[in-house]
Amino acid sequence: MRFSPLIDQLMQALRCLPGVGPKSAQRMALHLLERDPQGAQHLIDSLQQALDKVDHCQQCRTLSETPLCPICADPRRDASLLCVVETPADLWALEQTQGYQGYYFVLLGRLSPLEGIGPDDLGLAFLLQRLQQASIQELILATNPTLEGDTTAQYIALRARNLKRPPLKITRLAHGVPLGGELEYLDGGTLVRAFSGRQVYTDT
Amino acid sequence: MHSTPAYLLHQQAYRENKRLVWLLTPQGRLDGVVYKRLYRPALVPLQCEYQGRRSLKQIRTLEAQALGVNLVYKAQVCALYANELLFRLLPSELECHALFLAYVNLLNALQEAQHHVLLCAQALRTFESELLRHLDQEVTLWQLDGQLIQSHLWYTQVEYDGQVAWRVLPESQPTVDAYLGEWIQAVVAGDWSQPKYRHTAKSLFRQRFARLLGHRPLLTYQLLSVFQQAS
Ligand SMILES: [Zn+2]
Repeated sequence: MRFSPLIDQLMQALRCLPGVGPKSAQRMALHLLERDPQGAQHLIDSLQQALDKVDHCQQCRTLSETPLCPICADPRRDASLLCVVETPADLWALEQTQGYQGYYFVLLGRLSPLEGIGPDDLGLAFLLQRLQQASIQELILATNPTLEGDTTAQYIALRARNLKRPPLKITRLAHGVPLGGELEYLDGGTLVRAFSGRQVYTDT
Repeated sequence: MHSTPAYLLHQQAYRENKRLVWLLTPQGRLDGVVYKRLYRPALVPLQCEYQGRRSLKQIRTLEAQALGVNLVYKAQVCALYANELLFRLLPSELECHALFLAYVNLLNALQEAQHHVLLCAQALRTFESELLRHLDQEVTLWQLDGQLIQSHLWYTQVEYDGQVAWRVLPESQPTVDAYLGEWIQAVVAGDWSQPKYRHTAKSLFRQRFARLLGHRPLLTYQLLSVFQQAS
């Protein structure tokens, strides 16, 4: 063994991070111990606090240290819109655009039979219960355009349509040509979707 | 360097900028092969170039060869069902040319006939039949005593020494799990033309898959029951 047991243990622990292999773990461990023990202590404290306090928002299921996350607790948001996303990271990506003012529901996954994730694992009963609120007029399905994401969106749409409640508009994010993209470099599947989802030209 | 047609069954993130992919190819299922973090859609015919052996395979290129299918509702779950079966039951890297072809045919049938319940069911039965044949679990015409079944008699399944065979029933007592010889013969011949034949095939195939799947049933069964209403 090249390192002492404790250093070795630290390097093993760091490998739980995504994208960190043995080399990176070694660099990180030596950096923290040799160059930045203060940073290491700060990391320990932050990690411990986050582990103790961060849980899931009781309403939208995103990560939050308060029972209701800041979005769900904000009464100025548009209560007629509910957007379903797969992960907290997707929620944050949409929030950064500042283009959406409604509320969210985070599935914390998507229907993926191959990974053993079924309807019961996504809190769908909780989502359907929330859709009983008459204030919600539009359900935006913002799952990823993958086979699993599409299946999840279709599944939720079917279940939502069967609810006994005032009519609900169900929408799906548009798929198509990325801004600044060039048609010649797009894959055929994206082009076909973009073509079938074309919109009437307006002079705005 | 190997080059092969392939379909993507599953993918997951791996390291910072890589993916592990599971592919169905005529040479068998390739499991957890390293590929760059470039999204490739499922249900699209791909051409895959890979190198390496056993667990150290690495994909060089994985390019779409055509547009692939664009399915909705039940047809999409049927494709997912086929993927789940292949992912759970197919042994890794066991040549499967006929099964690969049955998968391609299934996707094409689902695309062309996705609002036509009967045609989708027929394509599914053909795929299931080919998969069972590949797993050495196909429905046969043999009775326990080595005799062939007869079309006018009733039979029930019995398991003996890990194999399933038929046992003839007295004509007076057809039970819930009794099948007429004619229906079994149709299933073995891949004849899905009559409702009784299709029903028999569906029931027999389900039982065989259940035996192979053990205590963890397919998740797509749950989805199919909800999507049934939208077909
Ligand atoms: Zn919230």
